[in-house]
Amino acid sequence: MLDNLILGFSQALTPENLLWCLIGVVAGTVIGLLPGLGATTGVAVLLPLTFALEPITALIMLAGIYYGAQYGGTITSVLISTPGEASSVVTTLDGYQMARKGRAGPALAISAIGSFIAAIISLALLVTLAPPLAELALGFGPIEQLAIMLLGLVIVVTFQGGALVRGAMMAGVGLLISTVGVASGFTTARFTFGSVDLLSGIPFVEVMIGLFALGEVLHQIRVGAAAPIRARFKDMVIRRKDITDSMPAILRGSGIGFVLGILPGAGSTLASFMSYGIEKRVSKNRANFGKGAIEGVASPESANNAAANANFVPTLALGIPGGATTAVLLGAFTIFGLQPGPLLFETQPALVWGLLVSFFIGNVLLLVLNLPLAPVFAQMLRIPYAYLYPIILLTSVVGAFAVSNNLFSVWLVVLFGILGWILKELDLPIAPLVLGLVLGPLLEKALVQTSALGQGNLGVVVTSPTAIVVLLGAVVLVVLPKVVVAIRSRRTPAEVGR
Amino acid sequence: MRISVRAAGVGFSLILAAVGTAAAIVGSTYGFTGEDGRVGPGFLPVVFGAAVALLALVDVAQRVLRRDRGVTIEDLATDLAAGDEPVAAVVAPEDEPLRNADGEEVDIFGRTQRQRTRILVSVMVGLVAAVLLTSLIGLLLSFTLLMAFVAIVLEKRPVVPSLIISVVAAGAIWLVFRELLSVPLPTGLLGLL
Repeated sequence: MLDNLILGFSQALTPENLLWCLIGVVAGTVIGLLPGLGATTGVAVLLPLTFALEPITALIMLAGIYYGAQYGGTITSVLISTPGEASSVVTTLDGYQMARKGRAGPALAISAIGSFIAAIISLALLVTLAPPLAELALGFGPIEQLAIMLLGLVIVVTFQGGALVRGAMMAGVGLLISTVGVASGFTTARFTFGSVDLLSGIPFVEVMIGLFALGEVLHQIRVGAAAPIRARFKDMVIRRKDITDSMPAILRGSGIGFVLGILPGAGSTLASFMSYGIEKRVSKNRANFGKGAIEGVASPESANNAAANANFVPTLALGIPGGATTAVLLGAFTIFGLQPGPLLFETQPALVWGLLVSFFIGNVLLLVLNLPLAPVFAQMLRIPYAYLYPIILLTSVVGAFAVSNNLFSVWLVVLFGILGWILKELDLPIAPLVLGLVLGPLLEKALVQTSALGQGNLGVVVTSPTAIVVLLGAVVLVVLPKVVVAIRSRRTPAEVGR
Repeated sequence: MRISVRAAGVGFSLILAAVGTAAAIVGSTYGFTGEDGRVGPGFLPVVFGAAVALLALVDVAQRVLRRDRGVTIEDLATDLAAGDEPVAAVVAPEDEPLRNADGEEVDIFGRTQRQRTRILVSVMVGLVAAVLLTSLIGLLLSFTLLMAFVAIVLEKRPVVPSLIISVVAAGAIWLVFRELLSVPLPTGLLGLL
């Protein structure tokens, strides 16, 4: 372990990697706070820019955008009650109330401090847990991989926060799109309709840029700009009492965030809601929740950051992305010719550990930047969206073109941009589609291998205890919420009668 | 004419059902099973196509019958976070929406929903036009024109700043992609940039 960390530091601390880490976290902060730009969009749009870099440097920068955006999303939640990221929605509850009472400074400061502490705790857990998990996963055959991928899909469908059927439907759409082209192991060209461009399948990065960047821009145009509410913003000074009051909330948030973030398919948004909810029940200061309680800011902000880091556990150790952004990062790995998964720890130790250590460095940079500079970043909110979105459009199409040097990519971005807009307008979840698209080819490979193992009989799955446990877990996730609600509704009339 | 989200949702799901069915039918021609009963190239297209078609039809039924959308883990978590009051009520801004003289809801630039929809449609048409124009004047030039068009004509921002921002952004993109990353951006028939 120590050797690995030393190796990681020797990789992450080179001047070049440090510089790109800094660029990544600053870009992430800005992207997180700009309306209509989130971590996923940021990583997808800026991915083509990193092609000239070494893989490790590129991944350090892209990961920096991801966790940097968690810090940036907070600034808008607190100052204008408009979350830049879905995972900062809960922060608006108490953060904005604090800002209205002239306590914007402490709110931003505690979220930076909480995020930092959560990051360090979750990273320590990440570097401890990921390698043994990867080692365990090395023993997994196609049957276990198949089961884990199915679990990942079930989790993303049940956790995406909409109708179950719609989530499953979108996952199906993603999986169906992934079958286009010639799959590995086969020679049949599927759904290509004679197009040479489609032979190698529908490329991932273009779809992401379309769905997230273009789709979001089109959505924002129609939503229109909300009236910005200026919050008083005096100083970033935070009292010692604020920190000691928030500490239990930060620690609980970190724990909840990590546990939820580690599940493939669940994410920081759920973690922030969950930890806020729990804090609201157990905190000494619970009466003030919703009225500007500092714990109500500290808790979700710690949780979303811990979850963002924990998302890397399944991504790195199993090769199964934890969320939409890590799915794009997974795509980045494959573009650089790396296959995320258990083998990565053995074949690319310098890259894996360099990347993990860069998270520590990136979070230190973010704390140092965000404590004094949050007001400066907040100035970005004054850029009119009318100037901003044409620039996003241009960057998106040129970036997509750069992936394959083919105008076909640009058409794909436009097509999926319009699809992404439709999905947003209809409130259909995009995350299951993304995970389906990423997991589709892996799922097919595992399925073909499994059927080969069983000589055509897929019932061979029940011969693996690990696979059975994982699949049972998936069933529980679908059934449990219904059972809980059924029990609750049975209890409620009884209580009323009493 | 206004189309409700529900009607649009039903329409979209019906399209998905048709696409799923078509995919399953076409997929079955690729071979459901391969040698010795193994999964063949048509297996997943059939399974996923059928699943999408089925789920889309269930969604249509739920939307038409306005059935309860079911409960997920996320709902439980949201419940927990909200406590006694619904989250939407807490998150929604307290301020009254802005209105124009006719009482229509407007954004901070005083544009109505209909005007914003018109901008949205124009941007979509502009995007397609810009890609089509690429074969004549090149990718960068055509999208720079789109940028300026969006800012000046659609969003009615002042002309000079809009032009400066468009040119500077295009210049930066050119510098990064063309010069630093050596991406051969298409120059079109005219071969300008």
